Order: sequence, then C-alpha cells, then structure tokens
Amino acid sequence: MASIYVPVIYIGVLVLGMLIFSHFYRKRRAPAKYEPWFPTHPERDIYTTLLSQDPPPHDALLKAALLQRAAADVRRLMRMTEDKQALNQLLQKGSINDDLWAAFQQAEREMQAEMVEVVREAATFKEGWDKTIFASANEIVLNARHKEQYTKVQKLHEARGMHLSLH
Amino acid sequence: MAQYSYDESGSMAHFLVLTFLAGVLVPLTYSFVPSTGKSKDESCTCSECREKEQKVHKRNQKSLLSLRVGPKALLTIALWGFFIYTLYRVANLDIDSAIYDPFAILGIRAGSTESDIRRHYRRLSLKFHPDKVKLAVNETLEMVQEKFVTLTKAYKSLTDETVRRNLELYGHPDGKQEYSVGIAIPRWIVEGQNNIWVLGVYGVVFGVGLPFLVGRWWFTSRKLTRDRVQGATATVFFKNLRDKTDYPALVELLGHSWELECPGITRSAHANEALDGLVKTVREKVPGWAPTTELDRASTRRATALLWAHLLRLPLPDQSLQHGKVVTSALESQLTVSAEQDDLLLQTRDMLKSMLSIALAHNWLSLSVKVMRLQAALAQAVVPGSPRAAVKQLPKIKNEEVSVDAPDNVETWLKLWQKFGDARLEEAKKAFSRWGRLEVVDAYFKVIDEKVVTPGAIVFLVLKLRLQPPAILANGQASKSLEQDTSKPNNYDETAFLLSRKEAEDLPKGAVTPGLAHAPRWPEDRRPGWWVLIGDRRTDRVVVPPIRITNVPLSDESRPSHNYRTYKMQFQAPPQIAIYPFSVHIISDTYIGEDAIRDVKLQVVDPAVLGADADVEEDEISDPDEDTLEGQLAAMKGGRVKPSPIHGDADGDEDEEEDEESGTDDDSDDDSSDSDSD
Repeated sequence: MASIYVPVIYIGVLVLGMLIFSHFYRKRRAPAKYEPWFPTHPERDIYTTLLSQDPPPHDALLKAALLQRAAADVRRLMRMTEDKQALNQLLQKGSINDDLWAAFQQAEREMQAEMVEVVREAATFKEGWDKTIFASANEIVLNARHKEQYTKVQKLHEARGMHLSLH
Repeated sequence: MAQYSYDESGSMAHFLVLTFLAGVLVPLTYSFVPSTGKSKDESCTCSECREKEQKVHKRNQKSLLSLRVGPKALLTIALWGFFIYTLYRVANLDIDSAIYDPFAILGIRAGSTESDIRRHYRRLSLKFHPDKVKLAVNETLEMVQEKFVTLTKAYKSLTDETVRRNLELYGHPDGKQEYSVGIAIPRWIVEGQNNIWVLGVYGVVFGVGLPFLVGRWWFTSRKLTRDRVQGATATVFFKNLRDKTDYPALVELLGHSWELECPGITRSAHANEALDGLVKTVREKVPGWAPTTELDRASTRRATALLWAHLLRLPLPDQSLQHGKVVTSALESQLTVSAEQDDLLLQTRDMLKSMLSIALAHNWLSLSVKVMRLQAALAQAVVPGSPRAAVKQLPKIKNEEVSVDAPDNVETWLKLWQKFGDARLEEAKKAFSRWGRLEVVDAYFKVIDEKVVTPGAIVFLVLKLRLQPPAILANGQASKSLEQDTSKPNNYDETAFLLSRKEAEDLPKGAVTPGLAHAPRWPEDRRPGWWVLIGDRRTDRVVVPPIRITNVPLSDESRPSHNYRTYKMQFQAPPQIAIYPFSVHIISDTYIGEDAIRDVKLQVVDPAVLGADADVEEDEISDPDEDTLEGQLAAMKGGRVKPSPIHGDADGDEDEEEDEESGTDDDSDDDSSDSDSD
C-alpha cells in the first residue's frame, strides 16, 4: 500500500529541501571575500617596486622605503586597535553587521601577515634589524605626531598674537 | 485504535472556521482604518508652519485617495466573502439539540403552580390518553402512545421529586443522556482517497511556506542594524567617520548612504540632469564640499546636492524649465525630485542615529555633538556650523537679509523688527510662543545618602530644566526674574525620584510643554527634544553617553516654587581620586543656537577621609577587633578601627559642596558660543 512510500517520500522531500537550501545558501556565502579594510597600501607598493627594479637602487633607499612601510603599518595598527574596541561595542549593541566584524578580523589577519613580511624583509638587510624595526617605526610615528601637535600649537599661538595685535 | 466521531453535519466545522476567520479578519480590517483619529498636538501657528501642515496633510490625503486595491485588500475581501458564506450556511443549519422544556410540552405558562399543573395535566390526559383518543387518518397507536408518554414525562418532571432532580442535573427527565464529543473537522478531510491532497497542502504550508516566510524575515532583518539603517551604510559610516570629520564630510556621507539605503531608486534622465545642475550650484556655495576620492560618485553627488539644497534653502532646479513642451515631464520630475528630497531628509534621522552610535562607541565628544547639531540643522534647513545660523529660524526671513554684518542674535532681530514695525513680528510671536531657550536652573552631582562622591560610587547628575521664552516676546512679563529658585525640594522627594526608575520626574502640575516645534522646512511634524551628555572637553571624550529628554516645561513665573522639571542621569564615578572638569552638554535636536553647555566639576573624594558618620556606619557593619588581622589591616589603611570620630571633616564636606555649586554657576550662553568654534 501507499503507507510504505509515504515516510520514504517524506524523508526524501525533507532531505531534498535541505540540500537545495544549503546549495543556495553556500552559493551566497561563497563570495564572502570582504573588501579590504584599507583599500591601498602605497608604502608597500613603493617598496616592492623599488625592490624589483633591475639595477637595484641604493641600499639606503630600500631601507628607508621599508622603514616607511613599517611606520605606515604601525599607524594602521594603532587605528585598528582603537577601532576594535568601538567595533566590539557596536557589534554587541547590534549597530553594525556581522559582515563588518568579519571584514575587520580578516583585516587583522592581513595586518599580521604584513608585519611578518616586513620583519622578514628587515632581516635580509641586516642581522638583528628584524627585532628593532617596529620599535623604530613606532618612534617615527610618535615623533610625527608630536611635531604635528607642536606646529598646531604654534599656529594657534601665532593666530592669537595677530588677534591681540589687531586690538 | 480509538473511534473518533467526525463532524458529519458540518455544524461544528462551520463554527471552527468562523472563529478562525474572525480572528484573522478583525485585525486585518482594522489595519485599513486610516489612523486619523490620533490625538493631535498643537502645532506651531505661524503661517509657514501652517502651509507645511497643509502640504503634509495633502500628501497624506493624496495617498489615501489613490489607494489602489492591493493584494492585501483583495485577500481581505475574499476572506470576508468566505466568512459571509459560512455565516449563511450556519444560519440555515437546523440544530437538533433543543433544551428540554416541560412547560412548553405541556403547553402552559412557565412558573405555574403545582396545582395548576396537576389540573392541566388531568385535562390533557383525559384528552390524549390512548384509551380515549380516536385515531385520526394518518395516526397510529404508537404515535398516540408516544405523545402521551411525553406528556406524562413532562408532568412528572415538574411534580415528581426524582425526575425533577434528573432534569436539573442532566437537563433531561430520563437522567444522564448519551453525550458525544466529535472533532470539529469535516469527514472528507480524513477520508482515505483525499489524504494525498491533504498531506500535500500540509506539506506545502509547513514545509515550504513557513520556512520561506521565516527566512525572508530573517535575511531582511539581518541586513538592517539596530538603528534601522542598512548594514552597508553603517559600514561606510564606521570606516569614514574620524574624530575630526567636519560638517561637509558628514553631509556627503549622508548623501553617499542614500543610495545604499534605497538601491533600487531610479530617477528620470531629466531629473538626473537637473540634479547635476544643482551639484554645480551647490559646489560653488559650499567650498568645504571638496571632491574626495573615495565617495565622489555621481549618485553620491546628486543626493548630497539635494541635502545641501535643503540646508542652503535653494529652490529645486526644475521650476525654471516648466514651459513649452517639457511641461509635463518637467513637472513630474520636479515632483519626484522634491519627493525624493523629503524621503531623503526623513531617512537622515536613522542615518544620523547610526552615526551617533558610532561616534559614541569611539567616545568622540566633538563628533557626537556635531552629529546632534546636524540633526537640528537639517530640521531648520540652515547650514550647520555657519555663523548667524540661528537667525535663519526666524519666520519668513530671506537668505539675502542675513548678510555678513547682520546681527547674530534672534533677540536683536526681534527688537529691530519691533522698532521698525515689521509685520513679521507677529509671525515670530506665533512661532516662538512655544519656544524658549533651554535654561539650566540647577545642575549638580548627587550620591544617594552621601554628601561626597567616592570612587566608583553611583552618581546621579540632577538637572533642573525649563524653557525661557525670548524676553521680548513675553508680553506682560516685564523682565526675566533671574533669581535662583532657592526653595530646594525636600530631601525626601529628591531621593524618592533618584531611586525611581524614571529619567524625568513627573511633570509639575500646571506646567505647559511646548507641543510641536516650529520647523517649517522639515517635511514632517517635529517634537523638540534634547540630548544630555557629559563630556570632557579637554580630552574630547564622552564621559556619560547621552540620554534624550523631551517635554521640558515652559517657564511660568506664577509657580515660583517649582518652576522647572528635574531630570537625572546615572553613572559610575571614576575610580581615581581627582577633580574632574566635566561639562554637561544639552543639545537640541530641533533648534539652532539653543544649546546649553555647563561646566560642572566632579570631585571624587577618598572614602578614607569621609565624615564621622561613615566611620560609625562602617563600625556597625563590621567591627574589626584591633587584635585581629582585619583590624590591623584596616588600621594600616586609614585607621577606621578607631572608634573616635575624626573632627573637622564636617567642614571639609561643606567646602566640597560649595565647590560643586560654584562650578555650576558659569554662564551657559558664553559656553555655547565658545563651543561653536571647536
């Protein structure tokens, strides 16, 4: 009788439905390549271009380019640590999507790879530089920041001086 | 297997269907009732606001008239048809179950006395006794007998004690009747040859329909964030907002996200052309809107130009083209462009909310304040952060009038109008009658049952607020009486309010709150509200995230004792002992230049130097013996084991209080003008 087919058909339909769903769902999830957090990395591009030139440029130039690249990475890292806290909070509140969080995590992984690469590159120039390059880069960034603050204060000062002289 | 009895006659199934249908139809039909019966607040009575109200009303009316019969309406009509059909079927059913009524059978009045019944029965038995009756043409002996038995039974049930009890208990003189309960499903559903169809429908509804609906709901709601913007919009905001972002960049971000919010938006080619023209005009007027690299796309530019056109109060471009052959298309596109502008403006509310939560997650004070001010700027259609923006809120003021050398003060303008007898003064009076400058009567920190703030304590910021209408418009009230309200509410009231869950105390009796705001250029009614947040201006950080307050009462001189409303904000004191120079920002989301910023010092005091009361309390709770380790430790920390109270601390407390008070006495006006520059 039909009674033997009914459970078979039931299970068949159930499994088929799930298969179709998972097929489409995965297809939609598949291009989950998030767009990069930082669209470009000019310092890295400069360094790799310099490195691949045929008559290799002066060593000092390459080192400077690498240091610039490391400094850019430090700046990005600082921004990302700052962002991470806010992002965590926003995610908990539901003010952003999971996608942004996933993109951020991907960016973190990329950042790590980038730093490892910089360290490896540094080691090729001089023994032991790989251990100190990021410390120097950090100094560069902090110095730049201080300089910026200083010029801002100076400008303010000048503006106020002019303001006073007007009266 | 149990033998179920299915509903043969269909009467129960009909009632079941009717119940279900009614459950669906009543809310469905109610949803078609236009919601005009809403209690309407008094809106601004100035002519500009009236015009707007009519426009809004007309827009709603039009949508009501052009109500097309959608699938929902069709479904409702179909269901109603089915409902009426079922009702008709039910009405025509003959129900065989009747209540047993012995009086009716005997044919006498209900409630007759027993002797009456006896007499009546005797008469009937004489007439209907099978021995006496002569058989009529169509009658048999059984029928006659049966009739007599029925009569006798009815008589018995009224006179005989046992039969009467049977009737009372079971509703029938013969005692318990056979009683069957069926399943209210018509038999055809369970019949063998139909079961494939029934199973099929069941499978489609629960196996396909339900997952589909749930899935659709889930995937669409997942895209939206809590602030009801698209996730992509929040992403763009998060990546592009920095602590130094300025107003033009904020507006551009809003314009950029408009496309993300409504991806399917299509304009006519004509509208696009017109908007490109608008982009050029706006670019000339807004030097800050530089073509940035990332967001500068055609769609972004057009939406941003629409926003700027609103802020700059530019007419939308198509009006100049309404002649000749293009009249119809130009008119159409003009309609759509202005409608799009309205939609865009309304959407900015959610977008700004999203921006605000991102700024707050970063604790950026200046950006948060900017986002809040941008909301007010959009409401009043003025350029945010520009000088003399506040003046543009005056009714019927022209762009040209607000020139560089014009006074930057609403009250000065009003005085000038009064002096020169400008007709617009009347309008202004109407517009500003329910508007006042937010006045902070008092703002102080308070810890329940403590006189000072200790590290980590739960602190309340208590705010006493009211709205002070512009002095020049306050007829009769000659001068602002700035005397501070000295009669503090008794401590009991205040503590009760602080302990309650409410953010604002109940509106004082007789207090008048402003209704809807004067916002003639905002496409909807607008209720004024304020954000209150505590920030640290030195480090540009938000200390306590904002709360939103509404219904601030208008100042009323006739109630000198309680001419304000109290609001509170709760937070935890910082763990370090220091004096924190915080500032309380109260920012309007509707009016320009009505913000109040007040510097308040929060002094966090070491609990060890608390007054004697605290020591006593401490002692009562845990009385560490000097011999024990605890006592030694406590003695080393601050000597709290000593039973003798420390003198002179009471004075210290008072000093601290005075500090707080003096910190709150700064002039709020100065501060608000200061803050514009940051």
